[in-house]
Amino acid sequence: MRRFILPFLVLFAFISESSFAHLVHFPFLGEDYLYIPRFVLIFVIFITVYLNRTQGMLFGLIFGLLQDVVYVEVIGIYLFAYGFLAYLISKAMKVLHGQIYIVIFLSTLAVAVLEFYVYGINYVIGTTKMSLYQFTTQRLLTTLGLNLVVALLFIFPLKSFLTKLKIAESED
Amino acid sequence: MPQFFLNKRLILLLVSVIVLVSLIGFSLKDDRQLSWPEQFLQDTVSVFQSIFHKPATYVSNVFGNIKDLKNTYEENELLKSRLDEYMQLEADLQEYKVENEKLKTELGKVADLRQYNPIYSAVIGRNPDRWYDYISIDKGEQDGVEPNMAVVTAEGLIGKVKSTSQFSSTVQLLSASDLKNRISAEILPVESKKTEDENDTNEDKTENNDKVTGLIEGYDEEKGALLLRRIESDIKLVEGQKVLTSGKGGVFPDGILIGEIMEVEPDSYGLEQMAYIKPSANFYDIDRVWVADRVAPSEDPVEALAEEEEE
Repeated sequence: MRRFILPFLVLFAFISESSFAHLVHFPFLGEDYLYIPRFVLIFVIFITVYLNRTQGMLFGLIFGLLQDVVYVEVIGIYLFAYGFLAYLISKAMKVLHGQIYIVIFLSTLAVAVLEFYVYGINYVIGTTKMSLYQFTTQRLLTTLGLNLVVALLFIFPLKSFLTKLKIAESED
Repeated sequence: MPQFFLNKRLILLLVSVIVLVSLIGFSLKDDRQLSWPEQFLQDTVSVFQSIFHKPATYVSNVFGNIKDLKNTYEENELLKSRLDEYMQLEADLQEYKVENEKLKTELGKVADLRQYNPIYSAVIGRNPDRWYDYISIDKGEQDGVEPNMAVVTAEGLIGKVKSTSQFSSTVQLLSASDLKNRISAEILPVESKKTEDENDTNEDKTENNDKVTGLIEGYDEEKGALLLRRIESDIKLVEGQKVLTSGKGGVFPDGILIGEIMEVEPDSYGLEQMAYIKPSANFYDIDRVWVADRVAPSEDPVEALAEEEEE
């Protein structure tokens, strides 16, 4: 039973991304600013840090592929991005301590890297003509803010849940 | 150097970059149909999406309702003042409809581009990364949705079907900056009341009463306006003229409202003019849409030509 809770939670995060984009509008930001939910990435990073690297990368790959197939319909943009970021984070965690503010900082950094990477790819394949200045002011900063808040909100419950899961797995 | 290539991780990285580039290249191919694993994944996710979406919409509606309550009084006043006008319009419309019907029966059987069967559907999600302006709806091939059909809300045209799965489909909104997104449109002549005003002020009697055609090509994100190109340069256009689909592009029905003219300027070569169209539909707050399944058969002009030649 416990085995299915984690995939289900990640799927929930995955679907809530699209519902968030559809339903949530912050009136104080107007229509020019875009805030992109990256809940799955944050979740994957928490899994990498608090559970283990293999599961983090696995979830990253699966949900990267899902994101490509279901939302974007261009396969390859997110496919390796989540898994690769999870790998990098696990490398970084070997050097750094697992304090909460470090994890928060790393996940914000990962969101920024992902945004730049996706912007780069979309710029190269010609789906966007947004300039770098526009990208940073209208997309990047708001996205980082949103995901920082979400990461702060969810890190405590997810941390306790994932550590419990880790203990249970090591007992098996 | 050989040591460089023996590095396992580096090779893995290089291979994945190659796979990635080839996959992107493969999926960027024009008018690619979704393969069955993709359709399967989309359908499965869409089931979860529709389940999750209902309570989420409910919560967001509660917030929306609170906001609405604040403006109710002012809105009510405004609507009351409009009501009389509306009655008159309705009476006129009824009359025209009857007249139209009569004339049509006199004319005989003519394929009507205007008629379509609406396929009502709910929006169950939106592409979270806003590089692509896609929304997903809960009707698919099984309900008769096909790629390139027009998608409409009560406010007007919002986009076209990009790809379909069995039970869900993806809609590309008009606000996507995709130049392949061409829609044949026509500009209605100015309403008679307005022309009178115009004549009073500047004695300009070059207003023509014919419909003007053009093509919608792309979207200007800064202005939030659609670009209507290929309008003949000697036609005088006025702000506020309504723009509708013309139905001459193939799959779209005739007479769906797109928006109204915001600004007119000469095209880059000066041979034609170009208009900025303010879309009548809101692309951010979409709840229920219908897909317009045109009754008149759509004909691919290239294929039709080929058939004619064969004959």
